[in-house]
Amino acid sequence: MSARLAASALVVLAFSARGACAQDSLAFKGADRETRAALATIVAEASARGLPTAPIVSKVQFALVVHAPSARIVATAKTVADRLGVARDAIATDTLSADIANGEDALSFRIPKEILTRIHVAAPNRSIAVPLAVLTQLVASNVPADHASDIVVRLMRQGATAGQLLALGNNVSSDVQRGAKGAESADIRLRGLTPLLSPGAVTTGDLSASSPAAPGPRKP
Amino acid sequence: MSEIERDHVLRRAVQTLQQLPSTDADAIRRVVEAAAAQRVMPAADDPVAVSAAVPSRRRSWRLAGFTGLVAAAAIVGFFVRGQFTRSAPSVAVASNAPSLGGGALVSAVNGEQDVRPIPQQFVFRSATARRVSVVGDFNEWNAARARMTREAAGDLWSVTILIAPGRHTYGFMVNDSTFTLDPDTRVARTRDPDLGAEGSVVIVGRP
Repeated sequence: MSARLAASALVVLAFSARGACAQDSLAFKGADRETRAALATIVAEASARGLPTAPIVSKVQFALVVHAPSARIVATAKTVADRLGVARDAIATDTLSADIANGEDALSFRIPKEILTRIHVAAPNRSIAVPLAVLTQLVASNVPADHASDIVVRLMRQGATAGQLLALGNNVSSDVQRGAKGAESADIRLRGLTPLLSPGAVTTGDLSASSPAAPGPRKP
Repeated sequence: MSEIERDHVLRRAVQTLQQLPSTDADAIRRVVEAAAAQRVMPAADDPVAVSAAVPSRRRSWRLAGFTGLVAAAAIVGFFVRGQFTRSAPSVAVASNAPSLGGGALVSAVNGEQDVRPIPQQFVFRSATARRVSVVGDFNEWNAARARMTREAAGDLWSVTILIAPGRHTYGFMVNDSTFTLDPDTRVARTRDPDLGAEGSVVIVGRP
C-alpha cells in the first residue's frame, strides 16, 4: 500500500468517522429495530441536507421518554426534519445550528416562516436564537404570532439585551400561568421594558400594532 | 472520477463507513473488522484478488497496517469532530460554572457570544430519591448526561450544565425511571405540539 494511498485513506476515514460520530446518540434505546432503522434514515437524510440533526434526535428521545407509539415517533421525526429545512431556508443558508433549532421550534407552534425571516432581517448575520426562543414562548403563551413578532422585532431594534428579552418571555409565561391573557400581559410587560431602551431605532408603521400607549413602571 | 472513486480500497472503506449505524466503541470495532475482512477475503471482482499472490507474511503486515490506519482515522475523526462541529446543542457538566449574574450585558443581537453555551443551574427537591437527573432537549433526554448531586444535609439536588442559547424543554428523571416536570410553579410548561406531552420550559440567554 503506497504512502499516498494510506494518507488518502487516513483523511477519508477520519472525516467519515467524524460524521458518524455526530450520530453518537442514535441508539434510540426503547425503540424497536424497525423504528430505529427508519429514524436512522431520517437522520442521515437530514444530515446529508446539511441540517442539524440534534433537534431530531432530541425529539425522538423525548418521544421515547413519554412512551409515544412507534408510528408517531417516526412521523414526528420526519416532521421535525422538514421543519428544520424550512427554518433554514427562512432564516438564511448559512445559519447557526442554534438558530435553525429555535426556528424549527417556532414553526412547530405554527409561527409562519415569514416571521422567522422578519426576525432574521432585524438582525442579519447574528444569532437570533434568543429572539426566536422568546417569540416561541410568547406564542406558546397565547400571544398571537403577528403581535409577538412585532414585540420581539421592536425590542431587537431598540437594542434590548438577551436578558431583557428573556425576562419578557418568562414574565409573560408566568402571567399567563396565573390566569392573565397572553396579549394583554405581553403589552404590559413591553411597557415595562420600553423606558429602558433606546427609542430612536424603531421605525413607525410596522410596529404600530404593539406600540405602547404610555410608558409604565420600570421592570427590574 | 476522483481518486477515491477509482481506488477500490478507498471505495470500500467509504462504503463501509457509510453503513455505520452509530458511532460507539462497538461500531468502531465493527468498522475495523469489516475493513480487515475485506482485505483478507476480497470479492471476486476485486482487482487485488486477481493480482499475484501475496506472501502471507506481507499480507499480514499490510492487514495490520490498514487496520491501524482505520483505527487511527477513527480516533482523529473523534478529535476533529469537536473542532468543526458548529454550535451543536450538546451539553457538558460545568462543575465550576460561573455565576449567571456575573457577566456583562450583551446585546440580544450582538455577536458571537450569543451562540456560546451558557451555564444553567437546575434544582430539584426530593428527600426520597436515590438518583436524580435533569433531562431535556439539550442533552437528548439522556439521564446519564446530567446527574444531579444531593446536598449533604438536605433534600435539594442540583446540577449546573452548559446549554446553547434558546428555548429548551426539560424535566427531571427520578431514580432513572420516573419522568417528572419541574415542580417550581414559576417555571413555564409547554405541551409539545407534535407529541402532546408536557415539558417544563427554560429560555437560555446571556443576562
